[in-house]
Amino acid sequence: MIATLLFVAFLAMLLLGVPIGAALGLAGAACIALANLDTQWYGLLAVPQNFYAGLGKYPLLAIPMFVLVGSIFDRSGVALRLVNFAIAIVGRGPGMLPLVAIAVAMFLGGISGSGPANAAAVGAVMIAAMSRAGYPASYSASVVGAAAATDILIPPSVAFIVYSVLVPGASVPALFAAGMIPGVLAGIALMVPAVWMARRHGMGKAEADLPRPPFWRSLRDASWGLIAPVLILGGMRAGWFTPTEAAVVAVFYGLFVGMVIHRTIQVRDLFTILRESGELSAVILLVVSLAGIFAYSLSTLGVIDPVTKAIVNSGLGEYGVLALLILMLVTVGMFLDGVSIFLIFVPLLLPIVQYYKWDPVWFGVILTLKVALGQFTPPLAVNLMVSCRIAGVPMESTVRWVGWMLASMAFVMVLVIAFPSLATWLPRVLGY
Amino acid sequence: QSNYKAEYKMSLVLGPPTPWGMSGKIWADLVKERTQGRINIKLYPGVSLIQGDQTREFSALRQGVIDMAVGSTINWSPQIKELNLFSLPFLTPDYAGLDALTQGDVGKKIFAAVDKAGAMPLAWSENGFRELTNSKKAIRTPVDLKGMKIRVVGSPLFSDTFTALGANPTQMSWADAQPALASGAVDGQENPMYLYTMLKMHTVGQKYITTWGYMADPLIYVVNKDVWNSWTPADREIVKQAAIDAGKQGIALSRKGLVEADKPLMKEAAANGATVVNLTAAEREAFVKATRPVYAKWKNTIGADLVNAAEKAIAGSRK
Amino acid sequence: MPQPTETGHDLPPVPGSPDEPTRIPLAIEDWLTVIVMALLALITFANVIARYFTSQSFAWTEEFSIFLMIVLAMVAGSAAVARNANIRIEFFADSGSPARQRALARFGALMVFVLFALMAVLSGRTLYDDIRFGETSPGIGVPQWWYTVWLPVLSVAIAGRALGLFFRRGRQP
Ligand code: NA
Ligand code: NA
Repeated sequence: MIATLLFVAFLAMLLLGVPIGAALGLAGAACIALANLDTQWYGLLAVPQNFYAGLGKYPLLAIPMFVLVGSIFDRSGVALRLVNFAIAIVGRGPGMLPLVAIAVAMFLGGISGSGPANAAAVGAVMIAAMSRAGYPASYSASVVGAAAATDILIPPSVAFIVYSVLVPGASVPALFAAGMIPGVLAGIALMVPAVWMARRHGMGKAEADLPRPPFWRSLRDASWGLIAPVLILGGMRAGWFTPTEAAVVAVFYGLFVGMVIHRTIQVRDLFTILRESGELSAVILLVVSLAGIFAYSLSTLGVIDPVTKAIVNSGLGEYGVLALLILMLVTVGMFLDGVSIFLIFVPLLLPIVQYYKWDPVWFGVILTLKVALGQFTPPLAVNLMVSCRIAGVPMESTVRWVGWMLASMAFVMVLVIAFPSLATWLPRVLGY
Repeated sequence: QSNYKAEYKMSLVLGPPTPWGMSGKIWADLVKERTQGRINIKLYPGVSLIQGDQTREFSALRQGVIDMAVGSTINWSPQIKELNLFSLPFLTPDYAGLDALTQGDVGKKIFAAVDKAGAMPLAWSENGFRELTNSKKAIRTPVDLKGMKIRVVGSPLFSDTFTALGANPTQMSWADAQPALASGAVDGQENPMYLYTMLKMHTVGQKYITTWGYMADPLIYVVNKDVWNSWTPADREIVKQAAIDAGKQGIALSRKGLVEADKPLMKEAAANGATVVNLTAAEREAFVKATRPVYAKWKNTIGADLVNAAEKAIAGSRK
Repeated sequence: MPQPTETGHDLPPVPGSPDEPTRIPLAIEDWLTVIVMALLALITFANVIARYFTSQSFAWTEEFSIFLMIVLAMVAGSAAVARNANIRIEFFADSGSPARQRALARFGALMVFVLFALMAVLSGRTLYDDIRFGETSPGIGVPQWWYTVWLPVLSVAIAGRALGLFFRRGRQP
């Protein structure tokens, strides 16, 4: 009864455009009060306790720091130099620039932790270059938006940090390692349709005769960027620093490169960088903390057990249930962002994961793959929103291009479901 | 009895089958059976009612966010400073000393402090003596500990103790500790032996064990006061007796494998490739000596009278 | 901030675009956000450096950093409320007639106000408890209320920003 109210009130507020955090907190608080009419203050002291405890977790500190890393590297001039270096390797010609865009987005994925930051960094360099070469702006925006989706799979990743906080059995380093191979596969899966479409429609002919950048010089220019993922991922692997510390080391490294080496960041830019990344982090963190109130309500109302029982006894079987879950999440993902999906659904799905004895790390990779797909599935597609703004095209114009890339990346998800060791092998070898 | 809740929420840090989780589960089962289902208790391990924040568990219980709990003296010390007594380094050398504290006059004083802090204390169970493990080398002297990064639970007294021993204490939840130990970002940790075995700590490189028994954390059964007052006197008596009975079983479970002559738990650790260092009396004394200033400093915070009474009770148990 | 177009549809915020004017300047939150973000980065970095060179870390940093992160979430969150930049489903709320959009925007702002007004009262009670029972912080043992006191204060700030947005959307033509 109260549980029904919890979901109905939450959904109604959500659809009416109330901020997700407020909808989670209010629906949770209302249900706590109704369920605890005999308790002091109607049991509502659970609200500040869970708000505070939901945020007061050291691993979450990695979120503002990785958002800051993304904002700094966006302005550090690293992307431009990586692009030149990539062109020096693959050369010019039809289909080469989208290849470069995807490769550079994957590489930046090893530095940044969120998709939109990646889309901004790659988009700023690639979209203009691609239009000069004759690629349609809507195509370029699609490629950049899709390529940036590999960011949350390739470590570091804000999505994995949130998942790890929700799932005690899945550590950040294990998830980071598990995302590596699926992330690279996803990038390769995007290259195939991107290049195929470019060739088929004869795009990118205009730049075929431009000179190829000299290899050694572009390697030297790109070296500062090339070292960054080695520093971040290698430093974590070697036990030099925790994920949060790795993010902070990357912050200062990026500032050094941007302010001293490439001189693309001025002192006065620091205010904007810190303010924007602070606000973006706060928007994420507030949803995390207010979801704690919703989760308390959910777990004390006793709805999870019966729902789990109903699902596992539905006769669909293990893979039927998994297919159903993914279908449901894909639908929800059309309207909700990735972090909110994790916060709302992981507590609900965890008992199912435990029932089928699915590896929580593997399941986290599947969920993150799904969220990555959602980042470039219109209408709510955070990465496309960024790349379309840079390209100056409406999101609807990308529909004819993203479909093939979505299908190709969805195929990677099917692969990871069919062969779980694509996700679980690396963390096992690394001993996490 | 209309104001009885359909279900009561019990918070625990560790669920069954740990001795901690069993201490709670046995309590819940006994209460349900003896009240003919009038009082139903659901277990929330992992302190999930407040997002796993162990150190706020007691506040949440006092405020009615949690109805009842079996909690560690370490986790509740931010709210009840007297509970730091049990975390004083090398306070008691053995189970006899620990029993003399919890089952005697000191135990009553502690319960009075818990009551004053806003919850109804009922009985004792035990998490056990905490032993030191690490991935680097066998530790026999405080010098061996120097510079080692050791994960401790969140409490300033623990930080003081390990700092006094020359180590580098770092506070983190177990969820963070596990990968930190595996990657070598943290060298060691301290926990009861049953956890070493259950969590398979040898797989995260914890190859060296030093059984120094520097402290033992008892567990306390408590009920929120409003909830307590809502029950009939007969039901209160049942709940209290069930806690006492469950506590006895919990204590036996937490000592299992350590009180038998051949110490099967230590044997099992050794069989998994761990090097076990049993400190001699003289070796242990070096650690005691190094931590005396911490002991003296915290004696005042906790209350000199209480600490004196505890020392007396422990001395009495050694006759 | 979002420029109303001829259809009344809010475009996604363009970086660098000017804010709607507010009675209490947003610069307060913005400067606090910048300071807190910088402190968070500096403290953690100093910790890495200190550990690298001295194999010691500062015991107080973790507790203080977590506190700063909570302050960040609420201070920058307050600015996000004023800028209407919180994560929400725009699909239905930002389409339809301007009157409907305005009504839904006001409803959203009102809900944020209700939640944080409630949070202010409830965290005020938590603060009272922390003082009354002399609770200390788990990490470094300082009085817990040094931290908790900011919860009601910042909740009031967020509630105020929500109310401001509510009135501003009401005044819109
Ligand atoms: Na990434
Ligand atoms: Na975790």
